[in-house]
Amino acid sequence: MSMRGAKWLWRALIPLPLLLATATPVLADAIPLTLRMQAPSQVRLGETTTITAVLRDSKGAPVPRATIVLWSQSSFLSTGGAVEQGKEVTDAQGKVAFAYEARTEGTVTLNAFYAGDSRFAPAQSSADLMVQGSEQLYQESPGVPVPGVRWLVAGLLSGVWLIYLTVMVLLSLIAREGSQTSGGAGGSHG
Amino acid sequence: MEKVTESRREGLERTVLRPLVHTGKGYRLLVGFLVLVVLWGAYAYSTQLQQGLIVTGMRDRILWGFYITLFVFFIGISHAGTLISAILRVVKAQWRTPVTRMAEFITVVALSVGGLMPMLDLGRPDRIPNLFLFGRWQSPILWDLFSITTYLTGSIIYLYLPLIPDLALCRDRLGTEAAAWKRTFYRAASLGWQGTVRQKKYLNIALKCMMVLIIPVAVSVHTVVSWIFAMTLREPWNSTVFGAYFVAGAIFSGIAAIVIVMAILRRAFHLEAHIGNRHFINLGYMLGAFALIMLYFNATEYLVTGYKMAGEAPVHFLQLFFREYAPFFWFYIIGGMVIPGLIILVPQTRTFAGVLVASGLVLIGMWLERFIIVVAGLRVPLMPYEPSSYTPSWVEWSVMAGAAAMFCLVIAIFAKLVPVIAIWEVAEQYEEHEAKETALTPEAPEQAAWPQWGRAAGPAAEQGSTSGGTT
Amino acid sequence: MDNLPSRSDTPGPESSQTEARPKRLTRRKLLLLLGGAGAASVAANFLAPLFARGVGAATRGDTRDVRNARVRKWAMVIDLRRCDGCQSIGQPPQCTEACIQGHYAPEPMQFIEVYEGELKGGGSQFIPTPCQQCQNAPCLNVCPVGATFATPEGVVLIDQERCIGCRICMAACPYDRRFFGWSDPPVPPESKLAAYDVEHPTARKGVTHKCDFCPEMARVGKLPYCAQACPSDAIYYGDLEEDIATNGVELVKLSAFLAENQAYRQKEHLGTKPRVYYIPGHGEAVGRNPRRHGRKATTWPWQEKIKGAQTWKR
Repeated sequence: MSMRGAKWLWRALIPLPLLLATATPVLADAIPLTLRMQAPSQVRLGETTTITAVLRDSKGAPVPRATIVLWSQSSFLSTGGAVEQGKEVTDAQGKVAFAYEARTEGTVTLNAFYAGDSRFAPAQSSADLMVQGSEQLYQESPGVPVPGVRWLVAGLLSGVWLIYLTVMVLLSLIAREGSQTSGGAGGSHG
Repeated sequence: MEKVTESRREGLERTVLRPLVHTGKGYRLLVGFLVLVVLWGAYAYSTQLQQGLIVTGMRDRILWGFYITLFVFFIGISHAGTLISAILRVVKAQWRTPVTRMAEFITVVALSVGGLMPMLDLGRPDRIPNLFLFGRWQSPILWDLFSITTYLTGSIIYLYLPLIPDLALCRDRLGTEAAAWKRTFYRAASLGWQGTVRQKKYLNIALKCMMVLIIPVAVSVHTVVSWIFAMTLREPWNSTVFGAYFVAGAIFSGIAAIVIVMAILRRAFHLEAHIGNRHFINLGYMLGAFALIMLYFNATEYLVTGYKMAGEAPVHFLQLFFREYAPFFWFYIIGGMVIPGLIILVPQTRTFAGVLVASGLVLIGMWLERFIIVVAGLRVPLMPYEPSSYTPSWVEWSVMAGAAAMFCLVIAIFAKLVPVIAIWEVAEQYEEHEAKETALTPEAPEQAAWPQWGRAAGPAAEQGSTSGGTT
Repeated sequence: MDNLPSRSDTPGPESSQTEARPKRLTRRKLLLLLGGAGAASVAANFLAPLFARGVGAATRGDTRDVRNARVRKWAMVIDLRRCDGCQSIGQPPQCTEACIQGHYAPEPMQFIEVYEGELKGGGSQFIPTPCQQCQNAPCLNVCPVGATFATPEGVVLIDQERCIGCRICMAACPYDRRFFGWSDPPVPPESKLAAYDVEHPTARKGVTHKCDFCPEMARVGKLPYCAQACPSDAIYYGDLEEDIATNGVELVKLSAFLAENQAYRQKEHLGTKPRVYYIPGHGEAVGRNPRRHGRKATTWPWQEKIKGAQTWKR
């Protein structure tokens, strides 16, 4: 019995290496890549700069049609996390270009990340940018300013009230005339 | 011949001055009743001050109701004075003279009552000073404040100016029959008017300034009142025609108000000899003309919106033409404009009674029109919710009654204080008429006590230039 | 007599008039002067609003969170793909409930209200609608006393100490987002203990109320009540200046988030330029069938009513 069992065991073990070879393709075949980022070291707040990255394998051959994600670590209202700044696909030369607009002042660490696939290992790269400046970038523009409206309204109102004032002056003149003549010439008319 | 003039003018003076010294029981009863109604309205308002605006029928979605309706309505009526007094004076329509004083009364009282209504509508009336301390000129409400105070001041001046010679007449004619305080009032308020050349000149200049100025001021008033609505983004209100539409509606309701007030005062003070049916018919012509103008505005508004049926227009049309507000709307269109227009157009109905009935219908119709604009305009939903409804509460009805009573009360008091007809103007027209009829010598006008208004050259030139006198 | 200037047509008895005239003129001059001064001061007061500085725009309530000289510009993004009106949890919309709790909002005030709108192709969508914080706010434009004002962050607030209760702002708002205190509102007594703060007001009689975007929460690094409470994290609160937003779980680049998801604003054609964006959807991300109508009605937890307080229907 044990002899027959050992024969079955031996037969079961034959496919094992094959199984092992196909079961772990990454371990077996993942090609390591290098991702190189190019970014200016200093950039002005609000300016859009180009961040490039190149994905190559160990032999220096470019890797096309690979999705590269540009992200930075941020914190906002007590929530921290990764903010995706761009997502592009490499061209035939393995190159990718991101248009990055710096909206946060100070030192910003931009990371480029390639997730990898069945053939390639993941790759990443980082670059630090110094963002300078402190001007307000977002401006509201709710309308179209029309100059002089206030002055027009003020002018019209003043004009009307000046005429009222003139009339009051005329009334006071009538009163003065009346009190002068009543003292002098004849009284009421019949 | 001079006797005819004297007795006609004397008759005028006697009749018009009589109410200032004699008060009948009917008047006392009327005033008592009106005071009670005003007090009841004040009591109703006091409950609102205590409990808040929840005592009204207004809520978040239909946030304006009777108070704002009355505001627009009374400010509208106030245009009576502008039209009769100013416009007709500018075009020198002679028949207007017996009517001008009452028209000017109505303007001042209507403006005062109308200006009070938004204050009753406020949630925090104790903060009215904020309007002056922190007022924003960009706000339609501040435009209302500016224009209504300007118009009120102008109307008071414009009422007072032609009143001066009449007050002097009261001062001179009414001896001890009038109460002592009244005599003091006449003496003070007549500013020592003696009819001298200088005084006439000053009065002439002042009156000419005011009569031209008050017209654009009045037009601006109801235009800015309409902009309370038109400057919002609500569909039924988002129309550029509101300014002109409201001004036309104001003059329309103003004419109707004058007809009714005049009819009542004529009856009460026995002024039939001086205000004939002719005056009512002429006002009726103007009423008819404005009925047609209003019909035109309404037709334009609904045809242009209805052809497109954009946005929430279907909801508005349904509620106005067929459903919730249909009775009010059709009464306004047919009862408030078509029927009065027909009454005036058809010669058989163009009588004093006809004009009076037409005016009554117009006033009701125009009140309904203001109500529809405010309430139906607010009822159209802005977001996906079921439209609300508005039911005025007893507080709002009481305040409306109080406001109407206040209007009548102040006019009644005015009528006992000053002559309701501009005696000097009418008297001078009688004199012109007599002078033309009997070809008097130039001597007579100089003998006449009253200044020949606006005449530089002398009587001979005047006779050719003036049109026919009064009845 | 020849030396004196003739002032009237009818010269009276000269001697008495010669002596009397100077006195009368002096008094009259004084009266004219006083009258002129009075008229001038009235005129100045009347015309002052035309030239008062800084009204209508960002004035009071310096609530800015200053980092350098830059000011935050708060905005909200509501992802309608994730909003199902809390149908799936069988509760009234949690955003509204949390807001009511946090602000002691009395019945029937829902500062953020979840409307159910019909979709043009059939079915419905739930639209949580806070105050849209318009950049061209009609409510702010029409307020006669500047009680409705904007902070430097672009948040539109109501100064309840200045509001006169005229309600023209409520007539002007095209989004039905304003609520009036028709009477003493039914709120818990403890809500009245806090001193008046324009950023965190309580409901009171005679003035207007609305969503205030919770600026006091943002300043201490918290999301508004509605965003915190949403069970599917549909509400994002963001800063247009730093171009970032969060719903409490993830961070997004605001401009990319809006562009990539076809974000829109409500009633764009009215030109109000709101700060609240919507990503179109009907709750599909949480498995909602657009033909499933209805949501639970909003509830207000306050049982206590102060003396004389009543509630009302909107």
